[in-house]
Amino acid sequence: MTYLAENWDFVLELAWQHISLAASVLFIALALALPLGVLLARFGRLATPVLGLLSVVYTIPSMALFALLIPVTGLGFKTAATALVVYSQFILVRNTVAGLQGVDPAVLEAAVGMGMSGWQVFREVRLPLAMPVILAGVRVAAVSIIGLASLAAWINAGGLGVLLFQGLYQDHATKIWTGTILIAFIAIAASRLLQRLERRIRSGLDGP
Amino acid sequence: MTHLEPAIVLDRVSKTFPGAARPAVSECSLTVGAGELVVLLGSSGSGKTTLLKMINRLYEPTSGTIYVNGQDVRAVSAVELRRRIGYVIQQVGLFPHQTVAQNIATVPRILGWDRKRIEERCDFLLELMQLPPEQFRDRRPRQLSGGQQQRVGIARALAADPPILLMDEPFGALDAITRETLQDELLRIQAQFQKTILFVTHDVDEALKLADRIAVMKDGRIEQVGTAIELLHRPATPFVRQLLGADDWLQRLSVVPVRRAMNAEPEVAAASSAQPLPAEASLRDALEALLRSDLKPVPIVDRRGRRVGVVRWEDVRAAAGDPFGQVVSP
Ligand SMILES: Nc1ncnc2c1ncn2[C@@H]1O[C@H](COP(=O)(O)OP(=O)(O)OP(=O)(O)O)[C@@H](O)[C@H]1O
Ligand SMILES: [Mg+2]
Repeated sequence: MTYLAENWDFVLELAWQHISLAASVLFIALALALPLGVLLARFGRLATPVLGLLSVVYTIPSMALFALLIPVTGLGFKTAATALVVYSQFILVRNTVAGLQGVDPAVLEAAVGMGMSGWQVFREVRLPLAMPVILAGVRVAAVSIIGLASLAAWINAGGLGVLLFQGLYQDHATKIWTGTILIAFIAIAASRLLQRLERRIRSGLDGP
Repeated sequence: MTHLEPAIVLDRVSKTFPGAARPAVSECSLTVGAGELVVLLGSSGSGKTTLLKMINRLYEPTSGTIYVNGQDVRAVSAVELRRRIGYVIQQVGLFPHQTVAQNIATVPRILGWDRKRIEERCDFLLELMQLPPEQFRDRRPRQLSGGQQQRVGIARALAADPPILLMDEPFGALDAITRETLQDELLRIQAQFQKTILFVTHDVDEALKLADRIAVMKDGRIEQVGTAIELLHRPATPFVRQLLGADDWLQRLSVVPVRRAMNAEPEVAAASSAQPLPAEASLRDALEALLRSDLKPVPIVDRRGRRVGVVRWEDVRAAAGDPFGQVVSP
């Protein structure tokens, strides 16, 4: 506790780095995954090969992915962010495709049959109905990004991982505990937040 | 009613799905007059849904032409066409993320009606479907029973007051009592607003009860088109005879409304001494009344109690079909 009391500004800065890394990764990852998912849901034949490729990427250990990227993007934030974005594509794209394709065909047929345009069907029917599944993917992705962002410290990208690595090298258990608890806290908070959003949307779908 | 100009004309329409061995719909021709209720009757897989979906261009025919209000449907944009045709799909397909009111408002909203007009229309339709608006407006589809959902589906199809309605087994998944109630409501709406309705069912009794004319489908072809009485009296093919179940004639008579066999002869009705029959009564009721009146013409009264016509022994006997004709000859 004395460690935290004496270094709270340093820890806070690391936490902030951690959160902003995870948040920007999630943001960029979504900006890529949503359009890709929409495209794959639209052209279903592409979905299997592309998702297959993404699932292969997903199985690469993140440390190995960092190592592969260092020659290209160097040490630091860029590499960490790129690796985590690539890594999270599988979950995000898969859930987007599953959500969009999982909409009851009868509902879509009614929408088209009443004279909604393609865009209206997507925006007013397909997307809102796919939303809970897409958000569930976002939640899983967010939690894993927050966890994996700890490894960013290994390539000088900062974050709470710094505490973990310092603790390991200096045999400083308090640092490890502080880092671990804070990372877990951030992950749980993010998950709760997204879960609440998901539930709000679901209750909109299912009724109270 | 067919003397009115045709609202829907199918001219030798065929549809073969890609890779299918035989056409789902084959050389079908049919004319539906404005304000007429025509039932497509046939067993599962006979091509009823496929035929219906070609009218609002959810499917494109492989060959043949479809006209709606005199216009080739390919000449207008599919989206524009669909907004003018109410569509009730086989699986109801309400939007689960929207309230009942939002569901009903779909087409008016697309058409850009103002909010007040949409709200009024919505309440009017809920009343029409006997769902008290203040109770149902804000509910979600999941909070409705099957029958209530189907009512909302019909209200949604009626929302922008389309002159034409396509209804694909709208009462399919309902118990007999709810089904009959909704059938009665449909007839009421039809009488009140003179919609042109093409109604799909595989239920013979439903077809006999609702139809101005019935088109019997088998293996993608239309086997016969005619009124309930015509079909019962002169089935064109063995299939039609079998489908209408000539041996079950008393049951058939109990669903065909007597007004379909009525002769519009008010003078004869006025002179008749027999006990009058309401127009909604069945041919079976008419048969009973005729037996009680010693086969003298039975007067028919409309909802306001006016004697509008008579039904005679020959009319009921004709509807009973051949077997009956062979057995009894008064
Ligand atoms: N989208 C489709 N692609 C390929 N074949 C189809 C398609 N829709 C229908 N069919 C086939 O066309 C035939 C007619 O089907 P349709 O749905 O029109 O029958 P239906 O009379 O409506 O039957 P039901 O009473 O079961 O609804 C069937 O053999 C069916 O398998
Ligand atoms: Mg069908």
